[in-house]
Amino acid sequence: MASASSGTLGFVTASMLTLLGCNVAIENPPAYDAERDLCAAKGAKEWDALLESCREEFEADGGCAGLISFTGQLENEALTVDSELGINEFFDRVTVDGVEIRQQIKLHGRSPYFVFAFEFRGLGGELSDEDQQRSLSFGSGTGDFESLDDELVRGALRMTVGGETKAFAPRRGNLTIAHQAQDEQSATFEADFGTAGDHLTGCFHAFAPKRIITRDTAADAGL
Amino acid sequence: MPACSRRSWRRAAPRLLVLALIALALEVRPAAAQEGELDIEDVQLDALLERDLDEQLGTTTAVSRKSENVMTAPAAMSILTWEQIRLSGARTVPDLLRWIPGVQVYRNGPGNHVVSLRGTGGLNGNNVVVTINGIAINSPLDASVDWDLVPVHVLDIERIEVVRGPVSTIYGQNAYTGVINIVTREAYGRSTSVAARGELGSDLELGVLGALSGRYASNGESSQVSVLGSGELDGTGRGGVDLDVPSMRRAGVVSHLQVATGRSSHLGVDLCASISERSSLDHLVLESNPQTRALLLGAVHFAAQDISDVLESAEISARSMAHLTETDPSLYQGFSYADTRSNRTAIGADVGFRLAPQLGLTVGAESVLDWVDAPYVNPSANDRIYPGHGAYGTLTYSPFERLHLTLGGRGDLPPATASFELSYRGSVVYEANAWSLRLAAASAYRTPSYVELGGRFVDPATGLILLEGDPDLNSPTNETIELGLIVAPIATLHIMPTIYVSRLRDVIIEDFEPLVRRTFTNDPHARDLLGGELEADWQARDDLGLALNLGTLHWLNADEHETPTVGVPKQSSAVVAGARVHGTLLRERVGYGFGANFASQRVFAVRAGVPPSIIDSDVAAQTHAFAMAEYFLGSDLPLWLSLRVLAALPDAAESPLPAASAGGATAVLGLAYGKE
Repeated sequence: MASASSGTLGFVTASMLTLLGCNVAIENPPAYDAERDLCAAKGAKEWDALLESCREEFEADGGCAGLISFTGQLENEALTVDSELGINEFFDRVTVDGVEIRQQIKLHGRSPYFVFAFEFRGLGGELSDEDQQRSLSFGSGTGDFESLDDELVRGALRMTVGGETKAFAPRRGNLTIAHQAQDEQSATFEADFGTAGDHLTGCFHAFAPKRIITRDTAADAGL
Repeated sequence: MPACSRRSWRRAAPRLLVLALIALALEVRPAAAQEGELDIEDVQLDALLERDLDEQLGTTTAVSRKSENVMTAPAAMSILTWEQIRLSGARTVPDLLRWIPGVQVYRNGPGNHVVSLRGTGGLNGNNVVVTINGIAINSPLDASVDWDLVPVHVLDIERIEVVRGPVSTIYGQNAYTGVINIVTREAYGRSTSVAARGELGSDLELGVLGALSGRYASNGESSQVSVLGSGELDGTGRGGVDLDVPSMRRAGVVSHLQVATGRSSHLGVDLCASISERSSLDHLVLESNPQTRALLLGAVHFAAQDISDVLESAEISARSMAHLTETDPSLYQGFSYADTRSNRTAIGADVGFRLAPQLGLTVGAESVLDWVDAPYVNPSANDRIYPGHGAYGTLTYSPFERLHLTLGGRGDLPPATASFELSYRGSVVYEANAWSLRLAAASAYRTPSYVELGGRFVDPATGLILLEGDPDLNSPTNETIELGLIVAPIATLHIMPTIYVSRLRDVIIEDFEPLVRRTFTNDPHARDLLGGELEADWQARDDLGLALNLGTLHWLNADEHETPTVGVPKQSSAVVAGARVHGTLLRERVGYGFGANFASQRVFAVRAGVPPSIIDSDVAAQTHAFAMAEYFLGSDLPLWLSLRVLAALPDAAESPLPAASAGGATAVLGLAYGKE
């Protein structure tokens, strides 16, 4: 009878544990949880400090090419990324009058899950050491996004991991340029990628070790 | 000499080993064999006629973990006996399982198999509970089964019992599509038996196979003990790819001790240890490199019967199992299971009541502790202990002699998930003298693995996360309704057809499509499966038996929701069938068997591996054929000689994984010594 009592006791004990829910669910927070949204107002101080440090590093040995941060949702997954920028590429055009206009920038960064490149084409606007507040729209449809004279910009985000790559194009939203100098560009962006829920807001401040410059000829200018 | 009791079958069987066709050509003198040198017992066909179907089919403990007649068991099941195993030609347990309807097997390389039941399993093979003498050996990490770690030679298996369909009410998590119970050989009656066996073989490319095994078993007045050891090297079937596919090397021992502690109570202790090295290839590890795995298992149970008029049985059990996987990470480009350690420790109690002559109640509970330590699990989840609990009850009622009703339910809080899982089983079985009809409905669930829940594989080259689990995954569930018939139109023929419909919900898909990760997701669409199984066994004459097995799958709606990821239904063959002939000749001095099984084409167009690769290689229909013969040399020196020839046709890999190797053709010569 002792065995029966033990068995019954075990059953009762285990049943009670079951009813009490004494188990531990596994934790596996996404690595995005450790990333920071440095573009939000509460991240401003940290952004400024990191940017200053990055600038010093860039000026010393070109080691940090800027900062980028964004948050939102892609592929039904909430994500937040803060990253130093790697080698950036600035594409500028110099008119026959000697005016420098920004055509395009390419920014390279990494998240815990993928490396990425942001590309903005048809930026337009002269280069200046002064801050500005110029807003461009991510358009869709038939707009001439290569034009440097309008308020449209074409954006693209390409993610790469493990030999696989995927591109996303903003369908709506805007890019607001805050600073556009010869070797420096900063902006905030808000992009809707067209797929339900896929949306990113973010900001970047990029330094360019070198620019790719195209010079207009008189023929280009129609002279 | 009694005519053909089960015991006489068993006692005669070990003496029946082996002669090959070659041996027949060399030394066999049938006349000498007929001169009555042996004291083995005759098997008379008319004796079979005297036994009713119930007795012929025997009993099983696999369905309910208590002894019950196969004919009235509340689930579809198949049994391969030792004689059938011996004459099946199989060299491995997975190859044996090819003869069971509803089972699908494919081989990645030597010692590396994936076994699934009733169309689920695909590239994973973690939807079925596998037990050795009733003790589960599934990996705590992901519920997969390392068939190379089964620590017994296939000819030291007394029988294999396969329960098809959901059985979570008894076995808890992961008895999603069934249970496979491997029963090792023991001594019969009050006796001592010893056996030793050696095998040597080769494939056409001169890949070598060798095996040594031994068994000691003794039944005393108040104790039973058995110790089985085996070692094996398998370098056959490594063709098909331009890679150096590792051979399989393994060694294992399993022991069982049972001591009577009273007139109707006993204490049992089981120990098991196994180590193996074989190809690492699986659906996440797309590389074929040497991988070492080990299994350590210890279990103790105390059981008492007939305690009082009401209290029929009581059992307390405890078991602990450790799995280890080691690889050399420097060999791998992608993912490897390096430095994986896991443990599952469980205690349980089970009490059976006889509430009335026709009414029985079994209640039980089990608590489990899981521990997993692996570098590809998120550090926040790794190296922690996860408790789980389950409680169950089963009511059996026989309102009259021929009708048996079973109703069972179980609630679980599985380790590592926050969800409560409920499973059920209900059945009605009607039996007559020569047939029984079973209608059953049941559900089961599979706990998401620690990789699916907590996985985080960081690519050492780039530092990027290539695979990530999702702790919010639901447990996949399987709800099945089945109708089964066991019928003996003549006394020597058993036919067992089963038809079933299953609804699979929350199937876990490995979805490598999103680059932002969360690699695993529940399929939001239920999948409905209509399946049929047929098993037939005809002992046509004393020296001639025929067996058929057939399993068919038809997905009712899954095509509508296919995704290019691991988990699509077409990874299973729609038809798996087998036929074999076996028997004994010359007063059981010669045993023979030949036959073939067939699996229809399977379709793979999936992303798999870490980093993910596209696997787009349909696996053609494949046939496995065998022929075997055995010859008993003499009772003074009880030696058996055997030859087994196996061939996979076509000689192509039956796995879609890029580094999988073809099975090829193998011949194995065996010499065995055995004394009862």
